[in-house]
Amino acid sequence: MGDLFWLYPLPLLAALIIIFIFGDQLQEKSGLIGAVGSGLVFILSITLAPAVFSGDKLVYSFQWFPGVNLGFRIDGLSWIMLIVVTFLVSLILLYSYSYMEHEKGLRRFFSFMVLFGFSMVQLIVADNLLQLFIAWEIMGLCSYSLIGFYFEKSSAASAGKKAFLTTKVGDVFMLLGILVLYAATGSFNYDEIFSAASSGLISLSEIALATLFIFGGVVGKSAQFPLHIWLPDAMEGPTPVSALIHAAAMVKAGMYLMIRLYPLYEVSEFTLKIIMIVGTITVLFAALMAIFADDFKQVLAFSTISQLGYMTVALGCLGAFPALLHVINHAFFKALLFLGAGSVIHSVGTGDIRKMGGVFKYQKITGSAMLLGTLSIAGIPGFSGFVSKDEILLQVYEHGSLFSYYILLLTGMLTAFYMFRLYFMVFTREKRSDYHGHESPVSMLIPLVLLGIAAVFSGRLKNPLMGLLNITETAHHNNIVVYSSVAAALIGIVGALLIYYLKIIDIKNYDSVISGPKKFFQNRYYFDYFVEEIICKYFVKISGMITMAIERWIFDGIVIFAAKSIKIISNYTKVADQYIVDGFVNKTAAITKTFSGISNFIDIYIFDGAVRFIEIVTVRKGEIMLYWNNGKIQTYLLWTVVGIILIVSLIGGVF
Amino acid sequence: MITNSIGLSQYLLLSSLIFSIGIFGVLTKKHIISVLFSIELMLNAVNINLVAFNKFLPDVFVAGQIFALFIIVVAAAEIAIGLAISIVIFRGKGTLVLEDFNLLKH
Repeated sequence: MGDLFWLYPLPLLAALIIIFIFGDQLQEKSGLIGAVGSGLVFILSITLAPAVFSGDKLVYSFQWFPGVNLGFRIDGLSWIMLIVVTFLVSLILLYSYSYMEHEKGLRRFFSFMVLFGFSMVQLIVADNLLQLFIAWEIMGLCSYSLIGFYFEKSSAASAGKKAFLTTKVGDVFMLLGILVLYAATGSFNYDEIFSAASSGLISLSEIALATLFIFGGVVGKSAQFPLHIWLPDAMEGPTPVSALIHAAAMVKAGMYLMIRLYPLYEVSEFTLKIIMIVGTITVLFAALMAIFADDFKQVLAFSTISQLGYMTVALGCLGAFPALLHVINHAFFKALLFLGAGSVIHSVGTGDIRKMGGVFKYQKITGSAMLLGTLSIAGIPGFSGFVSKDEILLQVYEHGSLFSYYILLLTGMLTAFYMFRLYFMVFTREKRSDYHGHESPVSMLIPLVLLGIAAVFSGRLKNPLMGLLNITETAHHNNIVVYSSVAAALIGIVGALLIYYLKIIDIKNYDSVISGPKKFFQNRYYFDYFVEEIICKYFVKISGMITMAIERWIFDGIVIFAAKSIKIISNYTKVADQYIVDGFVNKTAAITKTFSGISNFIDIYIFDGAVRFIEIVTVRKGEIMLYWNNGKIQTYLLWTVVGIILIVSLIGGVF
Repeated sequence: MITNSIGLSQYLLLSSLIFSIGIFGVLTKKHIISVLFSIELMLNAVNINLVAFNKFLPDVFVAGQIFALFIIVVAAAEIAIGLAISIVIFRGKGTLVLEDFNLLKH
């Protein structure tokens, strides 16, 4: 069994093929098939637990083409990712079964969903960077297609394009990084690259360059500043797609890649510094936008960016393990929040939280599950989000800069605030618009309940995970850090409570103060505007100018130079022409003229006469034949039959 | 008595009669469907020929009948295609009268 572990993702592939072929007949039942396929992969992966926990590294590889192997590798890191991802994919597909019930284009939807899951699994089990990159790009394609699922809507179509192109910017860097590593070590394989790095075969500057480039890819895929712009727009896709992108695949692929390559990042202080700066900016930057967002899914999208920022900061100060822990916990509670959001939007019919309110009355199960997710992301002790966020804070406090630490604390407060703002606005108080709330079907609630449980308990994975990954020590426990983070979260919650639930503080009174920043944050710092209007426009302009310059000075220069030299040469040849060549030509012309007089006579009377004769004969013949050629098939057949009779008679000797 | 009096030549006579009717139909009928019928007649005349030869000639076992089967299959295919073409023509020109078709002239 163990030797065949690399075939374990096959059920997902089988589901993909079934959906691709029979999707039109199966319709939404494709979701169940995908869920079963993913569930099978989940169960098969669980059977690997004994081998993985005993510290084994399962590797299977064979030659793809000379020098490059196709390899599969399951160790502690990829095993836990595999478990989490297949579990989530399976739940999300089960959820889409009801959620997408009456949509059109389900074959396309489910094919791409399952392909998304499959390529994420392939990305996780790949044992070399090339294979990872392939899976990475397939995911880019899937995200493009799924975000633009409602492609009749122009905003959805352009959101898909934006996601694809923005992540592609990062991918170019990533490919460069991979190629730098390949050029330095001659291999794509993780182990070979690591051993080359530890034996000093690659210089530190090469490592710094490669890691920085690969981080560029991660910035694109995991939506870090400044390539975060695609993620808020990705909300145009159906909700299960958002859940998949935010929780299981896509943004987590970037984090996984960083953790996978952490032996390289560890040694490059410069890269770590950059990562930390980017992460710190992202954390606060996104949290501020989340506070003012009015769209359910958009709040969650900004919170994803912010939470990913947490992981990036952790990765920037040697905290691969806290980052991994947060990746896993975040996967659970963000999937929960998104599926819950879908459940609410499904029944209310709009994503605008200003039009919701009082949903809890209708959707008790969804509401309770969402409360668990909200508490978890806010970092309340006892829930999973607290455990990993705390690990990150401790790590930053110990190894990172104090500035980042304070930013993270502040963001913790903001996170609690905007999440509870969301929760109170949606689930409590009075209805703010006329909608008919109802609870979602069972197949949407099962994933919610399971994820609700996971959101509470996934923090308990910390100790088993430490055993799995052979990590003996984490950052030292520090009461100040723990208390301050809890206090920050509580301040945020109380703030939300006062403003949005008890309504003791009426924000309308502060309109004049808030409206300025509100507009600024709701327009996303005008960053998208900046990118589209200034960078893109000037980029086009500058590249046009460069092309023009090249054309004018280099190409035109060559042509003009060639023209000038030809002119000079021709001046010399002109002299030779006039006296030698022209004289010869003139004599020849006179002789030719005489001869042509003779041939002219022959031409007119003999050749032309023959031609005219032939012409007359042909025209006459044509006129005669035209009568027979009347275009009617039966006439032709008649003559055929007459011909056959004649021939047969001749052969038979009648005539 | 009667069976004895029917020999090979009677069969051939019958088949050539049918074949001639077929040719006549092909050459004179105005409607495509009728022409297709006539072609069927010609093919069946050939069938009669083949089966008759099979019966009256020695040392041929069932070759003639097998050929007749082939022809039936070919006839079916041919009529299917013929009808399909007729439908397409009808859609295009709104008529199936052969007189109106003189595209071959051009």
